[in-house]
Amino acid sequence: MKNKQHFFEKIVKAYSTDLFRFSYWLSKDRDIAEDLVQETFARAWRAIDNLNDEKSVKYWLLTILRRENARRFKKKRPELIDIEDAIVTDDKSNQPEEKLEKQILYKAIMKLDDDFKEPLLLQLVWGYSGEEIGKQLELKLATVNTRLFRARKQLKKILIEENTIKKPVGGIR
Amino acid sequence: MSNEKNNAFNLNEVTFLHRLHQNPAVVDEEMMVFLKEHPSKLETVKQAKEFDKQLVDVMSLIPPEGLADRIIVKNCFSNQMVNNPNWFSGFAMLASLFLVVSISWWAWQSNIAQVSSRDKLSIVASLDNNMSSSIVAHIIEHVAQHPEIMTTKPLAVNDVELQKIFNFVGASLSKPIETMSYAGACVVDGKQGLHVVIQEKTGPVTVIVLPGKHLEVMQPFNEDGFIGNLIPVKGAVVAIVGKSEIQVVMAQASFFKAVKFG
Repeated sequence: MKNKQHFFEKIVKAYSTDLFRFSYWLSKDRDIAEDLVQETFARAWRAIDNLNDEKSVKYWLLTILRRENARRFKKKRPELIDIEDAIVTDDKSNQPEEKLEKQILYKAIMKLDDDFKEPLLLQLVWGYSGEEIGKQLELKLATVNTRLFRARKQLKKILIEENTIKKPVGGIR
Repeated sequence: MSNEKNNAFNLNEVTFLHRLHQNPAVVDEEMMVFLKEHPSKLETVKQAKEFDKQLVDVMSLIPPEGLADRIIVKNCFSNQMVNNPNWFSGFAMLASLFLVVSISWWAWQSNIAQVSSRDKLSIVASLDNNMSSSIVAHIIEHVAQHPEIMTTKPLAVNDVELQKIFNFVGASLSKPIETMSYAGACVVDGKQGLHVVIQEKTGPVTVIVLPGKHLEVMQPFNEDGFIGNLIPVKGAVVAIVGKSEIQVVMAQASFFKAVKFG
């Protein structure tokens, strides 16, 4: 029991923040994101005895969270939240101009299709490789790579539409 | 000519850009060869990496205060209830242990990142002691004068007034705190703050918000029979004060789930 609790604490400390971030960008709501993370770990706790391979914890937790999110999504499609409520306001280092840039980028990520957002989050927040993203999302590597490319392309298109950048950054066409 | 090499690797500008924007963090051997032949594209790589850095920055949201604590307490708490008839003592022990570990870890991490000298640490500790002493003194005085504020009763202010009280200290209520029995302005150390009482199952817990105060890291304290945490938030310090660690942990969870700063 002691080991079980210790292991549980370890995985909560290690992954709750990244799971919350992933969950937030999918759900677009802090409370729903927290509920999803809570539910994910509640399920993890109940099934922890069956988890023998520590290395697969990350994959396993994310799978639970994505299933929970899909279940929730079937019931109700979330609304876009007010940009003023964006969590970027929590960053005390933000200067007004920097804050505005962040808010615009925040809005662009919010608008991104989930098919593109998920692989991008897995790459940038979870540090997954193309192969790992493919395994998690059950996609071929070529599909993952295309989606990652299109995700960045779509983001830049949104930013150009918002007039925040004059020309495509980084030469995306 | 460069085309010869590019053909050999089958990489032209279009395929180079496609590969770059799949993952700007990885520039493989073929891309390196292409860059050698087209040095002007180095700027493109730099811009793509910069853009990803901005994305990571925006995506790296700050999770709700004490999220990990709440997950651990909630799940281990259920477990204690099921397996141990004398669950409360077990739970209290677990919560205490967890609180001590998490506070130590947080303090350690923050000190590594932010505090470079022992002198600075001792100054911070001394300031924190003064703050906790003032807060405890305020609570004792306030309770002596108005003992009714610690009792379970419906909140005397309406939602609009409540939001105003919170806004005054740079905070907002995103949802009601069901167990809040008192909320009002208060003066601690000559400065105006917010005084909240949350009713936990085992007794009342006081939350004091002091705008304009600054702390580097969360500080636990134990003074005159009061146990509490001083928690840095945006533009303020929040003190959660009760008679036991379990009360403080539970009240802290309710408070930060409903209150946003900044």
